[in-house]
Amino acid sequence: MAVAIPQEAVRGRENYLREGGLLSWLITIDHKRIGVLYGLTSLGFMGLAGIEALLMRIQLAQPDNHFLSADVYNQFFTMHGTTMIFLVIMPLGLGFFGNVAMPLQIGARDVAFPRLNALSYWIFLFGALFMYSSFLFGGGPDAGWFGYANLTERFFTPGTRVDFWAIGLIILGFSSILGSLNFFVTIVNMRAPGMTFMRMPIFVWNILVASILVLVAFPPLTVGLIFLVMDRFIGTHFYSTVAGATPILWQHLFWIFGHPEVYILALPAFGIISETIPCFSRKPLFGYAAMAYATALIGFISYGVWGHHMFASGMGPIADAAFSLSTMIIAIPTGIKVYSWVATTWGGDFVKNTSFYYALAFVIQFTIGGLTGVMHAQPAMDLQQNGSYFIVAHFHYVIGGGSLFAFLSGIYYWWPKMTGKMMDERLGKLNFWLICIGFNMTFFPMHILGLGGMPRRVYTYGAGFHWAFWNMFETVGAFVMGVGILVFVIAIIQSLMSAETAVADPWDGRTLEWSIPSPPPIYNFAEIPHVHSKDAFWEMKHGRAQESRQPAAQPEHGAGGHGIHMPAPSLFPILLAAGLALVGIGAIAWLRITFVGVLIVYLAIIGMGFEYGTYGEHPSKERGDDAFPLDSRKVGMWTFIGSESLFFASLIGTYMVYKGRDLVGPTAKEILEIPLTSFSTFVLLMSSLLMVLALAAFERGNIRAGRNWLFGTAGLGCVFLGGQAYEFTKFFREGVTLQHNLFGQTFYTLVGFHGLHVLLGVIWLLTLAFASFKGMVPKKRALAVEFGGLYWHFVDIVWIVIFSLIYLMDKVTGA
Amino acid sequence: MTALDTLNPMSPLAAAIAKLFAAVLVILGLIFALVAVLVVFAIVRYRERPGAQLPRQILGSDRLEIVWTAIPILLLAVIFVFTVKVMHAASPSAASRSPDLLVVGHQWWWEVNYLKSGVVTANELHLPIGQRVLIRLESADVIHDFWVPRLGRKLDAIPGHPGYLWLEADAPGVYLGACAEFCGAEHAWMRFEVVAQPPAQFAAWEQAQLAVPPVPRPAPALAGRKLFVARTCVNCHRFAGTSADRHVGPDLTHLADRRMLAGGAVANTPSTLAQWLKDPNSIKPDSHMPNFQLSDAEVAELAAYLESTK
Repeated sequence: MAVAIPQEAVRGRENYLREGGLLSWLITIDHKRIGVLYGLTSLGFMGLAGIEALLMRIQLAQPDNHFLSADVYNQFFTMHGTTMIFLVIMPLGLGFFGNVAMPLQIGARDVAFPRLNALSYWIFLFGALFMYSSFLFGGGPDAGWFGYANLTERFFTPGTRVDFWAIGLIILGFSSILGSLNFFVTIVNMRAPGMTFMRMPIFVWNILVASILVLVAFPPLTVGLIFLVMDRFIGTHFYSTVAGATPILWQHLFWIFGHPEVYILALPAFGIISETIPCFSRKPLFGYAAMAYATALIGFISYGVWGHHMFASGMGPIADAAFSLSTMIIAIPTGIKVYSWVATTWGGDFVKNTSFYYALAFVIQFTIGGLTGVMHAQPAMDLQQNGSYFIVAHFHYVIGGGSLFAFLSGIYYWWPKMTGKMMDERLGKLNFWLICIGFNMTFFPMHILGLGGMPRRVYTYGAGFHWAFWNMFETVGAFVMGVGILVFVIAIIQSLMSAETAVADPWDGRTLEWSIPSPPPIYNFAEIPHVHSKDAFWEMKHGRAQESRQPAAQPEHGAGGHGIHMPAPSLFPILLAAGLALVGIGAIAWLRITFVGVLIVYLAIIGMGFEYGTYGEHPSKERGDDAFPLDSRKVGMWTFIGSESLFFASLIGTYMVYKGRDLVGPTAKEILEIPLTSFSTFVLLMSSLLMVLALAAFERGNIRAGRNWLFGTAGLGCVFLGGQAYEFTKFFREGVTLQHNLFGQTFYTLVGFHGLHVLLGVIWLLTLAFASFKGMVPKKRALAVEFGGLYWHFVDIVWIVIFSLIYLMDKVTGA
Repeated sequence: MTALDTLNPMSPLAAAIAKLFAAVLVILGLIFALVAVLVVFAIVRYRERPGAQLPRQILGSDRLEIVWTAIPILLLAVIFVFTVKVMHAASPSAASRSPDLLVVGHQWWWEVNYLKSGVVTANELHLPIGQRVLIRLESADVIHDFWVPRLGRKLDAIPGHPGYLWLEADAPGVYLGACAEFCGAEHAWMRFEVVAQPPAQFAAWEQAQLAVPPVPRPAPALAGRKLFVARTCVNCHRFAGTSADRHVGPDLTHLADRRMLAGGAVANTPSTLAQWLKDPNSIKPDSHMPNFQLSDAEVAELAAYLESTK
C-alpha cells in the first residue's frame, strides 16, 4: 500500500453529497447524484412491487381464497412484473450502478452528456409516476406485463388502465434509450488514457453491451406500443382480426424487445459479480478475455432468440427448432461466465463479508435459473412448462436470485465509496440469510407446482388440485424474504446514521474508483489517471506497475481539484421531462394538455441547446475537446441514428408483414402515384444537397450564406411535406383512412412517422437559422449545423428506402 | 402433496416429453452439482485465513477454458438431437387429416364440438381411451391456451389462427385441463376436464348427448322451460329441442350431466346451479353471465328445467 491519497484535504469540502441544499438535487447533473436518485427511486418502487407480491402470496396461500378479488389480483401481478422489470431491476442495473460505478471505473469526471443523464432520470421518474397514477383513476393496468394483444384492445379492456400502461412504457422507453446512448458514448469515448477496451473493468464491458441492447431492443417495443395506442385511441386494427391483422404481430415485436431485455436485466448483474468475486477472493478475474467476449456474444445472440417465448403459439417445427438452437447456443457463453466465476474463487483468500455472500449465492441460484432455461429452450419440454409455475420459478431464479442478489452484493460493495460510510456486517449477514432462505423457500417449490400443472396468473385454485401445501409454504417464505428486505433497509439507515467513516479503499480494491476518496469529490479525479493494465489500481498497489516504478494510476499531488471546471447544474432536464409527462397525461385526459407538453418540450430543448451561450459549446472543457479520441456529440448523434433506424425498420417490417393480407381494397398497387412521389423524392434529395452547402458555408465562417442555405433546405422540406399532405388528403377522399384497411393503417403510420421526422428536421434547421441572426451559432466550429445535417441526411435516406420498398417495388415487380 | 402431473403422463404424447425431461434433468443436474460442489468446497477451503499470503494471481488457463466451452457444446448438441426427436413424438404433424373435434376458447369457458357426431358440450371433453383424436383449436375472442398436463403439450388458441393438436389417453380417468394463457379477469376459472372412457362407454355417452330432451312433465320444470324460452337465456345459449340456438354461452342441453359449473369454479349440484342462476358473481365474479335478478321461485323453476334432462 504505497499510494497516498490526498483525501483528507478534500473530504467534506467537495464531497458530492453535501454540496448545496435539497433543491440542488433537482437540478443536479452530477452522475453520482443521479445514480443516488435512481437508487432511491428504484428501491421505493421495489417496496411497492414487494407489497403487491406479498398480498398476492396471501391470496394464494389457501385454495378458493377471497382475500383479493380476481380484478385486484390481476392488477397486482401485472404491476409487480412491470414494476420489477422497468422500475426496479433495469434502472438499478443501468441507472444506479451504471452511474455510481461506471464513470469512476473508467477514470472519467462525468458521463459524456451530464444534462442528458439528468433528463433520463427525470423522464424515468415521471414515467413511473404516470404509470402508477393509473391506480388513482379506475385501477392499475391489468393485462400482464407482457400485455398480449388482442386482450389489450379497447373492446376487451375498456377504461384507461392499459392506456396508462402503454403510454407509461413509451415514456420510460425514452428514458432508457437516452440513458443508454449516454453510457455507450461515455464508455466508447471517455475512458482514461491507456484504458483500452481489453483493459476496461469487466463491469464496464457489461454496461456497454447492456446499453447497446437497450438501443436496439427498445425501438421495436416502442413501435409495438404505438400500434397499441393507435388501436385503442383512434380505432386502427393492428392487433385485431377484424381487418385481417393478427395479434401475433404484438408477440413478435414484444419479444424481439423482450429477450434482449432479459440480458439488459442480467448483464449489469454479471458485471457486478465479476467485480465482487475477484475483489473478495483477492485474485484477478479468471479468463478476462473470454468473459468480455462471452458478454458481447450473449448480447449479440439475444437478439435472435425471441421465438422461444412463442413455442405455444404454434409457429411450426422448423421455426421451433431454429429458435431452440439459437437459444441453446446462449447457454455456452453463459456457462463460460459461471465457470470463470467459480475458477476465480479457486485458490483465493476469501473475505467473508455480506457482499461476497450475496455473490456466491448468486452463482448457485443463477445456475439453477440458467439450467431450467436450457429446458425451456427445447420446444417439447417448454410446451409442458410454458405458462406454468415452472416458468415463474425459472425467471425468478434468473432475475431475483440472479440479478437482485448481484445488486445486493454490489450495494454492499460500493456503499462505502458512494456514501463514505461502512455497513454493519452483523445486520448484513442477517439480511443475507433471511433473504436467501426466504427466496429459496418462495421460489424453489414453484418448480414443483409447475410440474404439477399449476398455471401462472391465476388468482385462485381449487382445493382438489392439491397445490395448497406448497403455496402456503411459499407464502411463508415470501414473508421471510420480506423481513430480510426490511432488515436490509434498517442496515442502510443504520449505516447512514453511524459515525464510522469509510476509507478510500476499504476492500483492497482492484479498479480505479478505489483510488479516490470516499465519497468522491464532485470532480471524481483530481488528476485523470493513466492506465497501463487491467485492474489498474491493484497493479499500482501490488503488481508490476509498482515494480517498474511507473506512476501508473497515481494521481499527482498538489492539484487537489482546484481549477477543475465542472458543468453547471441545469433546470432544463426536469422541465423537459415534465413536458413529456404532460404529453402523456394529455393523451388520456384532455388533448390540449398534450400541446402544452409539446411546447414545454420544445422550449426546454432550445433552452438546453443554448444554455452555454452559443449553440454547440462543449459544457465541460476541463480536458479540452482534444483529450477524447472523438467528439462525444458526434458519436452520440450516430448512435441515435442507429437506434432510429431500428424504429423505422420495425415500421417497415410491419408494412411488409401486412402487405397482401387486406380484406378490402384499395391497396398500394391501386392507389399509389409514382410521378407525384418521384417529384417529392427529388425535392427531398435536393434539400440534402442544400444542407451540404449550408454546412460548407458555416465551416467557411460565412454565416449569412449558411443561413440562406438552411432556409432553402427547410423550404424544400416544406415542399416535400406539402406533397405528402396532398397525397394523404387525396387518399382520404378516396376512402382510404387509417381505419379502412391494413394498407391504410400501415402506410399512414410509416409514411406519417417519416413525415413527422421531416417536420422535426425543418423545425431544427429553422431554429438554427434564426439563432444565427442572434449570433448564437459559433463561427468556424460548425458542429451544431453538422448534427442538424446528419439528422437531415438520415431522414432523407430513410425516405429513399421507403420510396423503393413501398412505392417502386409494387410497380416494378407487379407483386 | 402435489402430484407431478406432467411427470405422470397418461398418453404416449405426454410420456415422450416426460422422458425427455427426466433425461435432461439428469444432465443438467450433474452440471449443477458440479458448480455447487465447487462453490461449497471453495467456501470451506479458502475462507479467510488470518495472516495468509496474497493468493497467486492467476489470470486464466486456455486449456481449462477450452474444456468448459467444448463440453457444454457437446452436451447441448446431444440434448438438441433428443429434442428434435421428441418434438416429433409430442406433436406429430396433422398433415391433411380432418379434425375430429373443434374446441373453441371463450372468455372464460371452452366449447367442445364433436365434428362427426354433432355433439356439443362445454368445459368437459369426453374421449375414448387408446384413440388419438385431432383437435382444431380456435378462439372466439382473445388468446387462450389449451393444456391437459397429463395428456401432453399445450397449444395457444389464437383468434384468426386455427391450431391443431392431438389428444389421447391411455387409461380411463378424469384429467384436469386449464387455460394456460392469461385471458382476462377470470382466467383462473377457465378450466376443463378430460373424461377418458372405454370406447363402449364413450359411444353411449355420445348417444345420450345427442338425445333431444322431451318437454318436461313436472310443473316447476315446465314453468322453467317457459322462463328459459321467454327470458334472455335464449340470446346466448343453445338448448336442443327449443328455439334457443346461440353459442355465445355454453350449450345447456345436457348441463345436468356435467361434473363442474362455471369453468370449474364449483361442482355441478342442484344447489350450486341455483346459486349460479341467482347470482353468478357470487361464484365467478367477472363472468359474462349476467345477474338477471331472478326471484327465488324463478330460480327454482329454471334449475328444475335444467336438471330435468338428467
